[in-house]
Amino acid sequence: MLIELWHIFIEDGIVLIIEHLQLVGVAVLSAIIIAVPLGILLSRDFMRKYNHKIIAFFNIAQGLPSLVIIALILPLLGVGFLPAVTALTIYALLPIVRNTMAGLNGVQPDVVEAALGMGMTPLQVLYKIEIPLAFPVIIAGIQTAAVISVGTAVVSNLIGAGGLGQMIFTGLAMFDSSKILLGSLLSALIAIIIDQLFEILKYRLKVIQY
Amino acid sequence: MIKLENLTKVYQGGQKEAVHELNLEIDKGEICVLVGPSGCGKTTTLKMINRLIEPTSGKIFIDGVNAVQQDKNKLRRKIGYVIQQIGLFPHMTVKENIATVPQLLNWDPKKVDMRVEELLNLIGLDVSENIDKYPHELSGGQKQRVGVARAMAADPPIMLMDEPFGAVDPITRSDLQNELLRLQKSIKKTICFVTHDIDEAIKMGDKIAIMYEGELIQYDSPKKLLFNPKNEFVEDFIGSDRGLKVLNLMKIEEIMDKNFKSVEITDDCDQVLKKIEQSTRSSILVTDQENKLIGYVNFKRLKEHKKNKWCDFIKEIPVIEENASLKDGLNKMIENDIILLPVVDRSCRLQAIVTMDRLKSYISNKYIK
Repeated sequence: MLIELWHIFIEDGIVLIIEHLQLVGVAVLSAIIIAVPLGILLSRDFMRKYNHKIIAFFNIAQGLPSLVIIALILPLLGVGFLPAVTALTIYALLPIVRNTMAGLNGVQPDVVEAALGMGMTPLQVLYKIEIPLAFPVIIAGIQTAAVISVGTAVVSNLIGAGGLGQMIFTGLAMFDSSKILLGSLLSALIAIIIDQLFEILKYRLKVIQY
Repeated sequence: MIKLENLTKVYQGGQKEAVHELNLEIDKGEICVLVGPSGCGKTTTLKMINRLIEPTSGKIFIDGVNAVQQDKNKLRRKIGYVIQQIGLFPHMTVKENIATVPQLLNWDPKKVDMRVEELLNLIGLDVSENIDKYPHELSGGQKQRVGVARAMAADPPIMLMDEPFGAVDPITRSDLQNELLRLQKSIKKTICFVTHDIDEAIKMGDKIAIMYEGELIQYDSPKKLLFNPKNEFVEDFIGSDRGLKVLNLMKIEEIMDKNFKSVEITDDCDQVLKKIEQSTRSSILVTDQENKLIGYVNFKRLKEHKKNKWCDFIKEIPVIEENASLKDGLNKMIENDIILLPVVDRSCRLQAIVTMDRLKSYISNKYIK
């Protein structure tokens, strides 16, 4: 059994792991690029009164099964790496936007008032005070997004994403339990490793900041 | 100098004016305390000076320039700002916090370092021990001190303080108040100070502005406020113990009597008795030849024991200096059950006397018309 798993790992595993990481990496990076500025924008004063509604929307959207988003992408963008990344990105946006908003809203108002009162421009308040203070919460959002993406990436093989999903779905089609087992174990392992890397990062940030 | 002209603020959606046509002038180097019950518009007024709140109408002149037309951020960098919650940046060290405004003004880093150390010394915090600490490592009083230092960092001529000592315990508050007063003697900033505590206002203010429902009710020195409250509201706000509060503000020198009799220790007993008889009192103060106070003798006892060695009857008496407050004076009289206090200078030379009668009549004359 173990030897069989090892063979599959050597033959397909390594390539598929790299593919899988590419999928997750590209998706999470694009999600960060879109979601953080969006979260900042949504937390500004002029949007503040809609905050509750926006966060409620994101919570509901997060509840949608990932399969739904993947299925919706198929008729729009077809199959392949790009449509899969798009689906993953959309799904990863939610926790990052939500946490960015929550982090910025959580900054003590008196700290912001003091900063403004000393003559910082709103932009300076944002990047010198608000973002650094919200950073741990934003990072936690990215962590959630990354871990979820590892799992969603498996499902996104349905629209031809490749990655470890390919191994699992092939295994399912061929009743090959070794492939199913190895694919599942490897994706679980990746999720755990990514999660722990973020834990280390968060711990470092805490040590530096407080 | 700060001059507010017809300053008015109506909040969006608000029916009433938070501040109504306020006119106020704060002289250079003075502490002006805005005081009043909550909702009276004192904080709104303060925040309009650095335009954290934009006035609805009216003008704010700072050194003759209308602040409403200036660039907000440049204006604020010239005005120190201290708030009750302090608002230290939790992710920055004490040094980084204090250096905020100098860095905004692009000071040379070496100059910033020197200024930070200077300020830490000024507020009485050990430099090497505290400079790299984060705010959460400081006590409440230390945080507030750093808050004040941060506001003073770029040496702004004006400081705005919004209930700066409201969130600390009474002992620390009193310490911080005394420190600010001590500092103010050397830095001579124009300070606008908001509080709801009339005792703090009387202690801190060169002038006090009492506000109620957006209007300025009375603007006077603490003493004038206590002696001549303009109306019932001011009277109530000051409190029923205003006679006692006045004691804190007045110095012994204001009521001391230089016209009194004393005897020297070298005088003989008859001279002493004669002098006591001339005065209307039952005892007399005794000094040595250099006019240094020794004590007092009682007429009755002296007469009973009429001896040459009258010096044996000299008793000690508590003394007071002329720049002490009347409160200290009254306290000494009550504590020692006496109705007369000798006023002495630093080297214990007798200068004058203060009597209970004089103290009482001076205060009551101001109130009974």
